[in-house]
Amino acid sequence: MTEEVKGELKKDSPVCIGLDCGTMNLVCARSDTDEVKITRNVFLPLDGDIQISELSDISYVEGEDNELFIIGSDAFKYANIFGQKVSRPMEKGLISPKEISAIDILTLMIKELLGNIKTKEAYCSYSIPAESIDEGRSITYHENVFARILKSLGVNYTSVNEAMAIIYSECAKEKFSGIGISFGAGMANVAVAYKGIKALAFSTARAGDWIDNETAASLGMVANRVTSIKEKYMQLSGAVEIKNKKTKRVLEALYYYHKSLIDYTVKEIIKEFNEKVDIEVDESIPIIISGGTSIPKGFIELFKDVISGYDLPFDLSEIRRAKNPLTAVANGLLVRTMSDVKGMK
Amino acid sequence: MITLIINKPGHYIEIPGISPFRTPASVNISNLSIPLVVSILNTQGITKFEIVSNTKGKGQTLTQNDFVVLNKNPKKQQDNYEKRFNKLEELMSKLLQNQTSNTPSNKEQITNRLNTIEKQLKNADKKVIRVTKSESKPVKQKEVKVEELYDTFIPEIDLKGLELKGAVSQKTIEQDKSDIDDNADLLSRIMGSED
Repeated sequence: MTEEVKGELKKDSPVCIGLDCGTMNLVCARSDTDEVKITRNVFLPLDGDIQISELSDISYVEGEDNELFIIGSDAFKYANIFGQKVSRPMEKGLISPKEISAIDILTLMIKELLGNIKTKEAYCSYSIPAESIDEGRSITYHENVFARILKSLGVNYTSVNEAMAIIYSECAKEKFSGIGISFGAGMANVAVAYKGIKALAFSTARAGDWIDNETAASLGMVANRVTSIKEKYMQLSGAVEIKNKKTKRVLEALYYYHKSLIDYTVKEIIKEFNEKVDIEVDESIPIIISGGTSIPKGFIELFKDVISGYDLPFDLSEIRRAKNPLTAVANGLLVRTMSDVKGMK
Repeated sequence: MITLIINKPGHYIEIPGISPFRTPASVNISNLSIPLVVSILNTQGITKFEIVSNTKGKGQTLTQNDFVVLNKNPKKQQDNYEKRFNKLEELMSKLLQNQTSNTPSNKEQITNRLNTIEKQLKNADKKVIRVTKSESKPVKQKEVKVEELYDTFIPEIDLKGLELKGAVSQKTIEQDKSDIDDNADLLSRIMGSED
């Protein structure tokens, strides 16, 4: 999906943007700064009963009828304090059908993340997942909602597959050939690329949230709490110095579900590759792993261990982690935008 | 592919086999039984919908008018119930004669029960949902449904009255972006040479 926003001619040189629209995080990289901005893609509507004495320390949206929505990471903090569940504009990698009214809040969060573009011609590539092989929902609605958000902010936009963005960011030395895997919160996205051309892309609905929900269900806990323990203590290799028995039990369950997630993803890559990739890849290709779910220490080692148990339908040169698993997609999208803008000149 | 299209907004629909969704929506129901989908929509009070098939050679559009709720002929159904009931009564009587001929109280009880069953059978729901095949209307392939419904489907963004306040919620990561420009050059060259 591509569209140029028509309007007044803006004077400054164009700014290129890569916007990663993830279930858990929104990440933005701009060509005119070395900073990459990240914000949590969550918000917490506050009940009238709840009073927060100092609002200036937190980021929030105030509505017409004095409605308050805490946004970003503060929403998680206060949800844990009040024992509430955060609202999430996205679920399983797509705009959530349960939170349709959240699109206005999401627009404000994106506006804040993009920063000042008023005087500039802005070009943006935003991430979309591939069609899921295990979830019946189409990505069309999701893609169009983000297109409309960017259009309303006066940005020229193009949608780009999330896993292809990892290839653009991390596989320059292989001339953009490789397999990019993004283990996000809502989905695992996979793309096989050969010399910059997408040969295969698919997604599965099993990723970080699946791990948290299954762990929470197994142990009779709230998923928020599992997420919090995972982000604080989770590592998939080495000794964990935790004395609290309950936390230890959560970490043990999390390990099993991480392994199960990797195993499932590898099986699906082999199946899809065998069924759908027609091109002859005559050279060995790397696997690049990215996304927030791949951050715990030992994830890559566990991935290597699991994949070693399978016969692969391609020659594998190496398995490596993206330089920064949180920003790789946004950087890849920025590469793509800059490349497109160069092509326009 | 078979697509279910509901334009009327404000419904939250759960159909077994696919994720719950909120209307207006266009949903792939290729793997589901159409009568099941229709009966679920009926139970949820959805009266306006379209089911579009764009399978090559089998293009067809069905609307709610193609699915009618039929009442069987009540007279015929009544006769049928009576016939079945008489047969049942006959069988039961034979059985009772053999086994409980000395206990008239049992006979009374059973007759009472049979009367109750008879009443219940008479009051049984006579509605049967039947899917009637409509004449095959080929789908016009040139009509892009998604584009047509774009404005209805995608909600308006209204930021009036909403104001962002307080501290900045973003985390900032500093990174060297010198390789990004090189990567963009390389990608532009590779993609350009493919063209």
